[in-house]
Order: sequence, then structure tokens, then C-alpha cells
Amino acid sequence: MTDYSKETVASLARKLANGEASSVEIVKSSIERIKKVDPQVRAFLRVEENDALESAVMADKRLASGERGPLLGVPLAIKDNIVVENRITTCASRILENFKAPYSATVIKKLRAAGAVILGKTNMDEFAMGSSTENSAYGPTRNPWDTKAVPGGSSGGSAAAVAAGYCPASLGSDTGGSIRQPASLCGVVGLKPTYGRVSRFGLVAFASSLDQIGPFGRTVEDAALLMNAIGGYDPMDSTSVNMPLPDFSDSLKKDIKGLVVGLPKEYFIEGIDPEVQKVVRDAADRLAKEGARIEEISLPHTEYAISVYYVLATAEASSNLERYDGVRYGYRSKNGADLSSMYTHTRTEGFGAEVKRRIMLGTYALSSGYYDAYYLKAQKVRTLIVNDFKDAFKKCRIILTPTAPTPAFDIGEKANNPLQMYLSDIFTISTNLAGVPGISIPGGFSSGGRPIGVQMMAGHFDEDSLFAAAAAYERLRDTSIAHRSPNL
Amino acid sequence: MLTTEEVLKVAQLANLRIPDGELAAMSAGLSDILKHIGQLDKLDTSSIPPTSHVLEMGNVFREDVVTSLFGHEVTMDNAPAQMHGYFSVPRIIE
Repeated sequence: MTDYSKETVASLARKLANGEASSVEIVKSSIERIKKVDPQVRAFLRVEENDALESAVMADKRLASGERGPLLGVPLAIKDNIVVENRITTCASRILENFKAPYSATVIKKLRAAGAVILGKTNMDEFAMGSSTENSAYGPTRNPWDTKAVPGGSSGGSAAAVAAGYCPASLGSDTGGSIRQPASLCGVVGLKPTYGRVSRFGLVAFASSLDQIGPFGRTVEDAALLMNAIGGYDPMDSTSVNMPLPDFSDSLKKDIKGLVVGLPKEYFIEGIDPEVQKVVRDAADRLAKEGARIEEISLPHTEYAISVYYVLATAEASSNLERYDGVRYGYRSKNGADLSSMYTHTRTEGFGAEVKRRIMLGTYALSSGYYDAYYLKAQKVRTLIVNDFKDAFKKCRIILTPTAPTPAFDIGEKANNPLQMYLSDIFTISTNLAGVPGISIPGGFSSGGRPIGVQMMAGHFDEDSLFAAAAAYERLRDTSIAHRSPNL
Repeated sequence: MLTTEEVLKVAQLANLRIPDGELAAMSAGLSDILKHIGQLDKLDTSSIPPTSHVLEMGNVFREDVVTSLFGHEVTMDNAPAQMHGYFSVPRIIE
């Protein structure tokens, strides 16, 4: 069977368009690779083999009738917090173990209309709460580059599925770095779009003012192709923004001469791994050689971002997760003689430790007597962080930073220290608080062979500049990076 | 530092039960994070407005038209317990 594990969305689309391969062949090869390799990696929670092959047959028919499209017949993986009609969606939680979604997310409808083939659902930290995919009720996912290491999280399964070569691209969600941090740790591209750019309809809510769906891919081009397909206004999501969606393929070839790239001094601090620091400095040098202007900038409230996030995200989560009460869907405990104790038993048995910790923290922050001190205070500091970005984007078009302070850490290394785990999102969280887009692009490897990502951010709805700068960096970086793949 | 009583109070508000054996760990974990969050007090925010939403958008309106995304039966398919087409729950009042 032909090996398609190193293909991109764009290269598969070309092969499908000129008849070199059929969607059924590609999808069969994907499924075979998952069966062979995934017992080591465990990126998938469920592979929907029959569904996928059915979609592939449909795609081949559409191709045969002359239809062409960048995603037509291409296999993708979906994070298990995005609903697909009539299929199980668990959010990697026991409380949704048997939940069969009654409808499809808008992004799923759009992908299906474009002819993409959905292979199945990927592992994640329970309800997207975590940075390592160790908080899954169904066991951790491992990093394809080193199975002793975490893949990052919370979209660790979707990042690992691409890194392991099961499919060229996938979807994740990003509330505080949950796409970009695993992309960095798994050596793939990951994009969090501007808040409001992609419909959240059908994304199981964690923190509604921060959540965004976004793509993983092996290349910046593939991320752009997926964004073209999933982006745009959706009346079903009242926070989605009604503005035209440009063709992001056009952004990729744009010249970066004269582009002002800001390096925020607060992101180059003690505690960041020297190898990570070196990769980002090198990225700045390469962009400068190509004509970009590198400027030191300041995002003065960076150090407060984690605190703001862990008040606001947990407060929103404590409200959003109230719905899991064992009445209308999901797990119901057999313990508890009356309604109120049934609720408590259901939630206590159904949620994992980290989810409970965050519900507790959010409930505390919202509780009478503490609201002003925590929730309102955090909302005010959020304003300061938003203003930091507004000021910064008056001076530069792109902000360049590390994605994560370190390469992938070992499984178990931070599992018993929640605060340490939270700090691994230190460079990604501000982006969500400000609602701006951010992308992680592979930039190098640690001496231990673990991937290191470079993060770029842009102003609201300026994915155009973001893709231009990211694609330029991808062309300018050490060419050996694109040729390395995990040894699985 | 969150006391055991405070942890129990919050757990009750959140409809969660923290077993006695896990109380100390929960209290320590939350206290650690709250201590870190305490750094926000360093900032004077008395004249700063709060941000609840990053994009400047107001309320979103639409015509009040009844639509059905999926039917009653599909909705009930996921019910842990049902009776005569209604969700069934344990006894509420004696």
C-alpha cells in the first residue's frame, strides 16, 4: 500500500485531482497506519472506519464527476469536543461517555461540504482543561517524537495525529494555547484564529469568551486551506463576526520586506529554555535578512495573564459545566435517593480531578463576597492586557515569541503540580485574553530531539499578515526541519 | 489559604462532593493557585473598565421564528432515564 504519511493537504489534493490516487486508497492507508502506530501514540479516541470509507467513496464520485477542491477526498481528524451528528462526542470525559451528538458543528458541515473525510475523534484533556493530554479519562496521548513525552494539550490528540502521519491536518480548539502549545511540542503548524472568525456552534463550551476552533497542519499552506474552509460568519454563533473571509492562500506568497516584527521583551525572561530562546532569536534574524524590521516592543502586563486566565476561564467553565447534571444526557449516577444528591453523585463520579479543581476555583471566584476581588478584578486586568496588544500593534504588524517555554516535558513530570502545568501556557494565554490570532510554526529541535515551535501573533482579523509572515518564516527556516519525521 | 470549611462550602455550591481523604489536597491546590492570582492586587485598577468580551459588539438580534434543529425523539435518545417521552428524575419532594 502506498505511504501517504508525509503528504500535505495540498499535495494530496493534487494527487486526487490528477488521478494519481483515490480518496479510498488514501483513507485506507490512513486507517492502516493508525492501526499499526496508534497503539503507541493513542492520538485517537475513536476511528470511524465505516463513516470514513463511505465519505471517501462519495469524494471519489465527486472527483470523477469533475469536481475539484483543496479538501475533496482528504482525510482529517477532529478533536473530541467538536460534535458530529449521530456520533459519540466525549470531550475525553466519563460524564459524556455515551453521548451521541444530535447535530453537527458548523465547522463539520463546512468540511463535509468541501468533501473532507473525517477519520475519527482525537484525544484531549478532559473538557480541554490541561496542557498535556494527561487529563483524559481514557488515558494519555504520547508525543510521536518521543513516546516518553507529552504531546502538549489540550488538543494533544489532534496535534499527534498529524505529527504521526495519520492525516495531513486536523481540527483542535484553543482556549489558552490548546492548539499552539501542542503544535509546538509535536512539530506541526497550529493556528488559533481571531475570536469570532470561526463559528463555535457545536464546539462543547469550556470558556466561551476565549474558545476558538482552529487547524493543525504540516505546513502553513495547509492551515490556510483549512481556514478557508472553516472560517466565516455563522448566524448560529452570536459571537461570530459578519465580515468577509479573504482567500488565505493569497497571503502565503506576500513579501515581508518592510514588515515590522515586534519582539516583546517580557517574553524573553528567566526560566525560558535556552534552546527555545535560540530558535526564536534565529527566526528574528532570518526574517530580518529577508527585509523585515525587527523592533523590541513591550507587553507590560504579560506576567498577569495566567492569573487573569485562571479566574476568567474557570469562572466561565463553572457556569458552562453546570449543564452536566445527569438529567438530559450523559452519565447519571445510580447513587443518590433524591434529585439534589443525584446531581452531586453524577458530577462527582463523572468529572475528573482537574475539571473538578477548575469548577471549584471558578465557583469560588464567582461566589458572593469574592466576585469583586477575583472575577471583576480579572476582567479589569484583562482590559489592561487588551490595551497592551492595541498599543503594540500600533508599532508592529506581527509579534514574534516562543510558543511554549520548553520543549515537550515527560509524561507525569508536572501531573501533580497544577500551577507548574498552568505556567506552561505562559506565552499563549494573552492571545486568547486579547482575542487576537496566533500561530505556531516548527522552528527547530532540542538537543534531545524534541520539537520547538515559534509563535507569531497579529491584530484582530489580520490572519492575512499572520499567514504571510508564517509562510515566509517556513521558507526561510533551516530546511532540514521539514524533512525530519518521528521514528514510529 | 482556603480552609476545609470553605472548600466544603464551594463544593456544595458546585454540586460536587470532595471525599475527606481529598480535602487537604484540594485545599492546598486551590490555595496555591489563589496565592498566585493574588498578584493581581499589585495593580491599581480603580479607573479601569472590565472586559467581558474582546470584540466591540452589542446584542445580536434575530426574528423570533421557531426552528427545529432536531426532533423530540433525537433529543430523548440521550436521556439517561425517561418516561412517556419526558425526562425522568429521582424523587424531588416526599
